[in-house]
Amino acid sequence: MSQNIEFQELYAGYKEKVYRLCLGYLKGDEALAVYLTQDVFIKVHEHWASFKGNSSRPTWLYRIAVNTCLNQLRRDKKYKKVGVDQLHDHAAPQEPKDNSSHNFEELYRCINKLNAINKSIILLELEDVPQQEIAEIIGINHGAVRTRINRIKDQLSKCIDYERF
Amino acid sequence: MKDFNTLTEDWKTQTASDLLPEQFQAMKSKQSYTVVVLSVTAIILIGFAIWVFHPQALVFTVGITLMILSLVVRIILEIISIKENNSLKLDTSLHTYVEKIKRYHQNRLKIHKVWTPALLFTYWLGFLLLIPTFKENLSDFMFQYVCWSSIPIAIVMIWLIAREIKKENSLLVQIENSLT
Repeated sequence: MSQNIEFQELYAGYKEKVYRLCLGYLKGDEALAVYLTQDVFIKVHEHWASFKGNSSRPTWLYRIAVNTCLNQLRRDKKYKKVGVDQLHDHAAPQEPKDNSSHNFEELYRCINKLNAINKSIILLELEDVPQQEIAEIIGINHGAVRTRINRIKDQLSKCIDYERF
Repeated sequence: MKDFNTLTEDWKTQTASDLLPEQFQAMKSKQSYTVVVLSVTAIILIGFAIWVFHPQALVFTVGITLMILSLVVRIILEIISIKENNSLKLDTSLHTYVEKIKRYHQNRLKIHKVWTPALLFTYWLGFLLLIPTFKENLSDFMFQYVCWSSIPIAIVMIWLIAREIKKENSLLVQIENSLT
């Protein structure tokens, strides 16, 4: 299978998952999440040949996605603003969606209180990524992932409860 | 207290199909202009040094050499830093990646806190050595202009360093927090 077809398949299969991962990292900022999702796939395309096959292609993609989201911290505000402006210039005007941002506002706020590692773990868990794969993406052992997931879920439930009342 | 799974059961209803392109498009990324700005300044200084070179004006030659050298060293440090940043592999585990960017920002902080002030000192020392030659060869108005205009330039340079140190410090705190 040619590299281009393989890439297009990966993009079609994972763009929404990567988008939600970015969304969680960016406190629900849809425009920036779309921008970051594109950025992730540009990097995946650029580094396609460097994939050594030590993990599955999706694991490799998730590693790039998580690290790219983390990198957002290092970018200055100006760059962020330019990115979003460019996106608005290219995208057609959209009607506000009634499903996501409002309902998940509290969840985003609570996820944002987690450190980057826990944030990544829970966002991957929400995408049903197997725990063994999460361990490979994060770089900690399987047991630690399992323990952390339970703890994070508990923390988030309490946090959302607290935010509501 | 609601169960976490109940709270997140609609998580996957968040889609972006209408915003994400069928084929992704390349977008502009931020580029470092520091090297360009410093290089242009160094080239202007080298041109000036060649233009006014006089073998007997030793103090002037030492002064302008110090200015050029400090710029060249700063350019080399910036290029090393850019290479270090570009060599950060995105496909490593998050844990490894965080450690690497932490090291990278610690090195950046060292550049801003140690190297840049030292080089700035060397640059301005070089400039001070040029002043007697300026006084001798420039009109009174031009001499006053050169001296007074150097003050805001020095203030801006110090402000830029302080801003960079603050930025690197805050990034390091964020990176530290991402691990704990």
